[in-house]
Amino acid sequence: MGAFKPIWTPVDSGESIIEAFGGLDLDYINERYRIYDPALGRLVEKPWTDIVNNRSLPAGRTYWDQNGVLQTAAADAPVIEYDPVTGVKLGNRIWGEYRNIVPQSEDFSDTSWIKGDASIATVPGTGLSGQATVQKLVENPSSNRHRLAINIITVGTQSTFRLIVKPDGRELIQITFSGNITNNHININLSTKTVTAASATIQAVVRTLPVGVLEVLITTVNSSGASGEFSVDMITNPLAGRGLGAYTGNGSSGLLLYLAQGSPNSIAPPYAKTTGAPVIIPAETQIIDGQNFLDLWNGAEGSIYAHAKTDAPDPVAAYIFEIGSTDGNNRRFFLFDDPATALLGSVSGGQVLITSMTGQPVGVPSKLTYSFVRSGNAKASRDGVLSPQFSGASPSIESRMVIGGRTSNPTQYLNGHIRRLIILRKALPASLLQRITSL
Amino acid sequence: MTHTYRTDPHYLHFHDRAAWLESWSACELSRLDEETGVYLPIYRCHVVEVGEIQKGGEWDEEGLEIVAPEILPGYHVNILLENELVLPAALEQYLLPKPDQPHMIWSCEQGA
Repeated sequence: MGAFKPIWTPVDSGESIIEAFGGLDLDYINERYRIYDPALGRLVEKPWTDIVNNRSLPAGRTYWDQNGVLQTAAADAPVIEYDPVTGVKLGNRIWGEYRNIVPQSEDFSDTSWIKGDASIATVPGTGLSGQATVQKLVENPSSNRHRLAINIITVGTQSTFRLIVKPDGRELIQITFSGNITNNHININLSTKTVTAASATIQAVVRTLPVGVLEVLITTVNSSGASGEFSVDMITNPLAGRGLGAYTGNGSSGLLLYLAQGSPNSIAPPYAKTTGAPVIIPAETQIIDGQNFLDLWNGAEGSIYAHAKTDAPDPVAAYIFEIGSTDGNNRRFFLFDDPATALLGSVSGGQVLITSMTGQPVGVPSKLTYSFVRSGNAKASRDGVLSPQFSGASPSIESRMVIGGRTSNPTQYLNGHIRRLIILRKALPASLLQRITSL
Repeated sequence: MTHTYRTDPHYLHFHDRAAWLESWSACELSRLDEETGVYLPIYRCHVVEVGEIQKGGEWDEEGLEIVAPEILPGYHVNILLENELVLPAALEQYLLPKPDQPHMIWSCEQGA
């Protein structure tokens, strides 16, 4: 448990903003959660189970821990994730619905994986979750394509595929899609992370994970709803054409295999294990409401601070929070909507862009604030840039706040991480909004 | 607040998408999103429109079809409910028995 940074004592008296104005502080990075108790006149430490008291967190979510080990979270357990490459703590991960459409994601010896002039061997090694053995794709001593393939279903117009592998004698691979999926291919040198034969309909990036394995992330453009084949060929010519990577194998070289994932949309989601059928991870929800927080809400005015990032690429909007008394109308949302950050109001069936701040970066944390009073006159700031003040009736934080998404809409989520979230009972002045987002 | 994900999701089959949308919009598991005009699931109800199901298929090195995928007719929808939510009676007529080899499963079904 770490200490609070002094950014929340910017007033001359040295008094904490949170203590001065009352509110709730969800500090995911320091794993510390505090709420202002008016009876005691101070912030009181609370356990996670009391703070996010209304949540729906599905089974099957995997995440990278502080040691770079792939873990699986239990149902209802929040995920505090680390970057597997840098080891940096990313914060509270919140994601909408996502899928793995590769039906057998870890057991490549299963018959659903077609082995072409190759076989699967089990060899000593460290698995992503700490296992003592790893599967290896071994080429046969024949002159042919040496490959691994599987039928997949329900791709999207834009799909992402993740393959985690490690060279063990072969460092060049060709990824191909065929059948009713657009007939794409791309060649990848795993040692140099060089990609060739990319096109407008298929691209790939390679990064190194902690245990020396390589994550290949492929994006493709396909015919929505189609099914077809996802194939991994070992090749020797980096410029080999599609399906033309035949060579004479030596009977021992190959590729270590860790996992495979496919997602039928443009966002590469967290990994989800499959064991025979494509799997759906339902959208998760974290809601603050209920009796524990009656003292928190102030219908007259309030402020919210968020330090968050989204992995959603343009043009996918990423919702940081939803406030309002119900999940019907008269709600207000704060969201990333590349290239802008926007504050949206939903009143009587219409959605109105209230204000926006342009230039929103994707994939890096951003600091945002929003303050309002009941009669209007709301303000917002992002990373030290103050938005124009706006007026109009303001849905207030009366009893309920949805963190990282909107209830009941699996397509409107943050799809990223929240480092810190602070709710205040008072509307901060513009100068403070700008200051706390520039620190 | 504790809750549970059901491990017995509902597999529904409709004649086409229009039939699904007609039944869905009239049932209590959906609500009209006034911003988009789309009927969205209520809190703790999860819906996946699988649609037409294709199974199998083989393709040659050029991506040409060798064995055509099997196409299961109709429009398929999977629904997962949490806690006290129950499938409305109006949707029960569209229920299929749980398939031996589901086209797609929810994560809570793994190991269930």
